[in-house]
Amino acid sequence: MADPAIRFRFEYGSGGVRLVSRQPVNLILPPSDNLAGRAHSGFWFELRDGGDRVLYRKVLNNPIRVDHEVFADPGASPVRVAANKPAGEFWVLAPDRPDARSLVLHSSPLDPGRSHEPASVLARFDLGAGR
Amino acid sequence: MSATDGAVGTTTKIFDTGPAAERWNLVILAEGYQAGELGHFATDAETFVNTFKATAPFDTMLHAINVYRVDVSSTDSGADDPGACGDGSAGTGTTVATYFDATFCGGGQVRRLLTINQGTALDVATAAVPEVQMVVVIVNSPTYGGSGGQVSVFSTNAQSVEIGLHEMGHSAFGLADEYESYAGCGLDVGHDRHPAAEPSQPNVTIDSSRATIKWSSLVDPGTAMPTTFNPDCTVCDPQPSPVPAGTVGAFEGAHYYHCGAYRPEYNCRMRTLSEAYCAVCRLTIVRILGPYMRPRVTALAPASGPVGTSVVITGEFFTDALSVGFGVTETGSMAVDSDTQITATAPDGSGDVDVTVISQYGTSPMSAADVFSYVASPVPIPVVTGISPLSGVPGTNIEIAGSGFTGATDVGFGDTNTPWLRVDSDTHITAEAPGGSGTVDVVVIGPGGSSALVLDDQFTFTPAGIIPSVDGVDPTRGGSGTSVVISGSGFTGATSVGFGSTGAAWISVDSDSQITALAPTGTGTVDITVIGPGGTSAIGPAGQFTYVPAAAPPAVTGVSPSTGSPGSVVVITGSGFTGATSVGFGNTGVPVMSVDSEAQITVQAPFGSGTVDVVVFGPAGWSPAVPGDQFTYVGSPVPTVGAVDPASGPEGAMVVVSGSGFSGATSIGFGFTGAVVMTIDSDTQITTVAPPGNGTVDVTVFGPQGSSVTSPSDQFTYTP
Repeated sequence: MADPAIRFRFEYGSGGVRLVSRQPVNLILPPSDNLAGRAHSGFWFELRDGGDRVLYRKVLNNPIRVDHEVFADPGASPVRVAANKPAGEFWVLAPDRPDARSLVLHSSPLDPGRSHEPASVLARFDLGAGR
Repeated sequence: MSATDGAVGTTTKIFDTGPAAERWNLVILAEGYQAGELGHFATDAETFVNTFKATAPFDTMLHAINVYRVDVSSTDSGADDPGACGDGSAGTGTTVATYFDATFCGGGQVRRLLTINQGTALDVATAAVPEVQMVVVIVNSPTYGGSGGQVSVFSTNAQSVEIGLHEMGHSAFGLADEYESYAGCGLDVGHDRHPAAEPSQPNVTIDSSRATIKWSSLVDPGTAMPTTFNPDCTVCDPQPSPVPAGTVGAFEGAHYYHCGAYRPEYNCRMRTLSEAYCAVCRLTIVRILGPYMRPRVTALAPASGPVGTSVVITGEFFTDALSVGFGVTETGSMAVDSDTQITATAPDGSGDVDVTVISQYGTSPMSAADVFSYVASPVPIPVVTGISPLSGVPGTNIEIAGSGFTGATDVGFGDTNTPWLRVDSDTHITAEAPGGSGTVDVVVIGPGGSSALVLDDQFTFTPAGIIPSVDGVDPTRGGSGTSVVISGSGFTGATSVGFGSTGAAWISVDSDSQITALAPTGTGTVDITVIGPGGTSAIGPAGQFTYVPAAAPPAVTGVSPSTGSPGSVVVITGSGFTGATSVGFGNTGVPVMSVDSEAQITVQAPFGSGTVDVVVFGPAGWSPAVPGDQFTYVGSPVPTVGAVDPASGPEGAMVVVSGSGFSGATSIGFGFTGAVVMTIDSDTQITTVAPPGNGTVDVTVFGPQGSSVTSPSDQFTYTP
């Protein structure tokens, strides 16, 4: 059975990450991810309540493309090349929770040479009260 | 070179398993197809979907997935292919006007990097299918290439499909790259050892501990951990796999680093295109798609009832159902009828409860459609489905089968209740038949009422047993094997006859008042008793039978006189003559005149001639022939006619009869008429005159020993 959700649309570029739209949608979301313990690298987002408690977390392969995956000969492993001017758009799907107050993006440094370092808060978006 | 270079056309659901809000929705966009080429796009999309549907684990989770095709036409066909590229390759230099602005040598770096305007693709996909989870763009170019990001991009080159599946692993399921180089093996700088931070993706790790590695549940205890390690971290590890394909462990070299990072299997689609997804990747995909295959209950029938009600549950994703809950109580009885139907029995419970179906993909969400309302169980009305035996005498124990017997208080046999019953279970009662007659319905009386009358509950009373009575036996004496007729009463249903303490070898109940039985082996005088349903007959003088020894056959020791003529009175002496009935003189028997004693008989000699043995026939048979039993006939022998001359003639004709034994002949007959004139010419000839007669007749000579035996040679035919 579908649940209320929101598709958050972002743009990124030299100016950082910007939330450009929120689109309500009814769909089924995958379960929240657990990232307990040690520091993690990579990218994930969290829906948080007014007490900054995590309501929902989802790990993604980093949608902010600081490099490109290039496919060599068929059957061989791909390789990667750094992007000249990282810019683009992506979305995340999060539950439409009335107690949600913020959406927080976590990411390793947006530098191909540092993309395996521990992630930190990349951006925090206030979702407002009274949701 | 933008969205103005084409148009977004129709959206077609090319793989439909359910409403978009309840499925994982894959949207495929066309790029570089002119309007006239959209038929090719439909084919290309179908080709990709077929590959996708055949790929594990999607092949087992297709019911979770919808696929849509959006026909986006472009002004031109194909993709940009710059003449110069950062990798030194040479392209055609073609520039085309396409909707998503696809171009090889994306960012001017590598020829095979086929990129598009991802923001435009996301806009088109969300507008076409608001519930979209994954966007794929197929670029109408035969050149191998593709790219990732939130949108998976690949060309129509047959090998490019693998790019789509690999990129889907990233964008839809959060999988990391498992290959161990960044710029390529031998080209890497600074990728010897992975940094200390644990990757957040599920399929790579820096932890090789069996106990704590994040896919520890998939590691076999016999697999070494780490399974491989790279002895030279300055290069990619060239060693082959030391374990069979599919072994899950910790293989060093992953996530763009030669050492310090591990992948779950030696190979995987996230490491090398065209390989299958490894077990950890498959599990991750299943975990994300699983909620779409979570059971859903849409209706119950009936939606209310007592404990034990059989409820048909309608919904979806029931094939993998593990159990059904009525509130917090799991049913003890369920059957998965199909992917959309389960039949389950309501367990103990009360009030309104949600009926939930549990599978490996989760528990069905609760809704108003899954509410089952318990109602108080009505007291069941007993139902009798059968009894055994179907007939019997009062006092017979009857087994009653049926239902609703719990708490039964009585069992009626017609108008009479049982004197005793035992409720063995809700479906079985044992009850004693009371006094009664005829055929009656057996009715179980319980808290819910009385069982309805049915054919299968009918019991027929048989009369109570009558004790047989023996009034007489015939014969009263005999030996083993003697057939004895027993008269009396109450013999119907008799099962055996006793000769003393020994049962008859065979009996026949001829009627209620007569039995025929064969005497068994025995001695002396015994009481014959008849055993019937009502008991055993009393003993008494009328029922006695005496065994007699087997009689010895008669024996003749002498006859007196030992010579004589037919009619002579002969006294026979010997033994065993009691019961003798006849005596044989040769082959001619005569009845006994008198049995004078066990040792003497008197008889009259029959017609005969010559010397014959005199034998006595008694109960034990014939006496053997012995020399002392011989009797010799004396006097004229029996006449014999050999010829008649003439053999024909009229009444009054003179006829000469020739033959033998004519001496002492007393008369001569022509048929039944005696001749008046007869002259005995000699012992061998008689002359006579034919008396009145007609036809052909036998001429018979009568003498003291008897008459001649007729034969064709004695015939005389009357002529007119």
